[in-house]
Amino acid sequence: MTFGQNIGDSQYAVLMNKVTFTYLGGRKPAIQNIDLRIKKGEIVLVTGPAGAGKTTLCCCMNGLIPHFYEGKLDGEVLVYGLNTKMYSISDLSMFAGLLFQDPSTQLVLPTVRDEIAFGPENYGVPPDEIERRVEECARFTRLEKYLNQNPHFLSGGEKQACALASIMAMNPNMYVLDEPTSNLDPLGSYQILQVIMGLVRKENKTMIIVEHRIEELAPLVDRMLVMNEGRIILDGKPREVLENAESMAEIGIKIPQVTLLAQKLKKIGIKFDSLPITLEEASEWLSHVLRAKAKINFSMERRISSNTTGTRNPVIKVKDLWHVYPGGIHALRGVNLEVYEGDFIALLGQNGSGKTTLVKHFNGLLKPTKGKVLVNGIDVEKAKVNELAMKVGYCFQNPDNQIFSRTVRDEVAFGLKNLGLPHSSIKKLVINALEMVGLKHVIDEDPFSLSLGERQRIAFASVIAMEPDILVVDEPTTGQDYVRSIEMMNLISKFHERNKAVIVITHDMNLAAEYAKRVVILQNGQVIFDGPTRRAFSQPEMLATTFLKPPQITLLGQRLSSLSLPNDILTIDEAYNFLTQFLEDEKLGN
Amino acid sequence: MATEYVAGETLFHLLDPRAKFMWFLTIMILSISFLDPLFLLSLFLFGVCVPIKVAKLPRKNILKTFRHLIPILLLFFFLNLFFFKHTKILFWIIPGILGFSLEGVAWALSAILRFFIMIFTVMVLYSTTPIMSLILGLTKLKLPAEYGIALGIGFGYVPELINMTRTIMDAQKARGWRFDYRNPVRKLLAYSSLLIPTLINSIRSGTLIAASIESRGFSHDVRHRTYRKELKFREVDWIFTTAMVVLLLFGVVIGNFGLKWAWTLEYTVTFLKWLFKVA
Repeated sequence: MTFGQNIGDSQYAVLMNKVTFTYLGGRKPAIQNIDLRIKKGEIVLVTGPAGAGKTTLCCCMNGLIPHFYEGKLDGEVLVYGLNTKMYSISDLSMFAGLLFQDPSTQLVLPTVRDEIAFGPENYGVPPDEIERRVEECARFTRLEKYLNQNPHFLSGGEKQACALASIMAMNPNMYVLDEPTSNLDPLGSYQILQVIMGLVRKENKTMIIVEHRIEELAPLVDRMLVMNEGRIILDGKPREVLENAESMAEIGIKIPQVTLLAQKLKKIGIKFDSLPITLEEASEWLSHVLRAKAKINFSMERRISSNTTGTRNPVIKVKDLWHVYPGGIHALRGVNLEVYEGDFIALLGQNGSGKTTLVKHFNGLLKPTKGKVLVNGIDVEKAKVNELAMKVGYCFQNPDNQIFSRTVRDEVAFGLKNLGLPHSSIKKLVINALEMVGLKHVIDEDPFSLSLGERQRIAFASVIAMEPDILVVDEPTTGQDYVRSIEMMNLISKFHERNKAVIVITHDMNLAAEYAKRVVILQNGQVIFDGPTRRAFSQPEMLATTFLKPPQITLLGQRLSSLSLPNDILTIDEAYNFLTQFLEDEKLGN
Repeated sequence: MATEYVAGETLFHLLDPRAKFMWFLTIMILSISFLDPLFLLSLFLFGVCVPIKVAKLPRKNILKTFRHLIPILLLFFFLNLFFFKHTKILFWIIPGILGFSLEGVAWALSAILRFFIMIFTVMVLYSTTPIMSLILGLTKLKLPAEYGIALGIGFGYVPELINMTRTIMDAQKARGWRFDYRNPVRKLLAYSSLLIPTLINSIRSGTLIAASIESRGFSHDVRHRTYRKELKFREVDWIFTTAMVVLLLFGVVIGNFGLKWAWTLEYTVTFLKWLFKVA
């Protein structure tokens, strides 16, 4: 390699000098005026809301910008001393290995073995050495037993592990991981985070991780960057950066719940030596605070959960439902479930547990292999999907899987036209639905010109326009940043307020805890829990059997239950109210 | 179609991909060089069924492929049967339009046999050769490496594409999507609601895939990239290939230039006449 001698010269892995980049056809720069120095061996967490420029930043580091994505690049990017303008993507990729968000667009070859070998093959590495690396990387990512399988048939976490292994096999000096867990379920995220942590420990390599999972990653990294609107707005040690937790939360960054709580309590005079950023730190600090204030065994009256059970009408009845896919996979094994008017259900469980298979029976997309599903008393086996579409709205995760019309109006009217409604009522329903999602002003625009968040709301509008009694929303928060997730959940709960039954499939426990009234958990095609949200999250052992975890704030309460904290706190506000009241009472008592 | 690679150590598996290409080419060309179903049948038996037997392909896969083909075969058969004209019509089904003739039967049989041969030849090739070996074979036959890899990626991506199309279809069905319109314009419009998202998603994924393979050094030096497996053209490959070349030349010569009888339906028609006792 001709540029080999340059490598040692720079003490920085990445050096960015006033970097601004505008995509071809973009109205404003995706990143602006970035000055960044990342030392060799540093582990950096980059976070920020959607559209902050995080992916653009990553793409600058191996020359995808400016060589692959066209646009205007100002300033200089040096990666291991190489100016990215002068070197090709393949030269730069020897130093910076990029892992992207969606594993399915990174796995392109017929077997896992071919996939991992692809990088080294391109660089002309001798076959023996490639085989050695394939074995090693597969072992490291625990994929040895799948080496001869098609990567597309692996689980989400394994797919991403395979994509990571294929980067590892190139043996880069630096890893740039762009939201490696965003598209994965909790188990998959856990697996891939384990691999990444292993990677951090294994070699003294530079690592840049773009992630929303500050809770898990902040304690592990040396440095944290926060981006917003194309700029780096905060840069420092995680604990220092998290001092700004509240303003970060405002721009839509998911802050560890215990950190937010600590910040809130600080305002009313409850101090800490150093800001708690992990569950352990927070529980130590709080138990200290509580012990100092409360000398006696204080038992607080437990709040009674406000779950309205009683005489409500069931809208869906599932009786001993089995579903076997062609090929013999038993996706559902005897599910019994009743959904009532006004229910807000979070359907939880890992990918492959049968959640989507179950809800696809509600609108007839799938027919039972055995058992019965009644929707408003109608047997789904005998009904057609388009008859059920009016009763059961089904909103898919990715809006781009359904949007096809030239205008927003046509897109939202699609379902209504299929139902054969008269023109005048279609017009009214379309406007109503768009008003509800707050997008009436774009009614005549091209849906493809809108942002992803807006497209998602349009897809949602096109489903609720049909005014279904029951709404199923499949993973509205996967691959989304926190603001968008909350935005979607708020829309869903607005719809729920009309006394509709809502079933949300989600992997986000915090949102499930905050919004859902009832939790149903599936595992291996069976319901392993069905009950009030509060009860679900107060049983961490039960959740752990299917690799789910209560929200951090709930865990905090459970850790401190010996100090009379309830074990079923669901939100930060609940924890805050409880603690302030507790401490208030103490003052009065004294 | 059940076209996944079936691991094995049979003679047919161990042939060099280039030798198998020769076989593939020979069968394909011969299948269009003959018209008479009796010749095509023997080509099918000796050229395709024998390799299936030698490669010990699971019966399950064969039957599965066959089952998928039935509707297409029937359609093919009947279209060819009734729309074959310029012969002696035995009786009319719809006077002046749909007629029945022995030549029609022979013609239809010939069409579906040819179809059969083509599908199963492809299937045998895929089932006995890993895709990366096929691509390596093509590359050795002077196909530019970029095209070879692109081809491999195409095959690797098929399951994902099927998944995507299914999801899109479900999403539209959930909004009451129908395609059972009589009006061809409405039918076309109904399908556009599947095609547009599929197309847009494919383009988007395509860009991401390209970015991802670029990031793994794809355009580093394509001509000097490593292929982990080296192909070796052994003695048996030479023998096999030579046999195929001879067969191909012979077939093409007698089929196209030499003897008139290969390019008629005469033999089968005579056979059918004997069978149905038609004068």
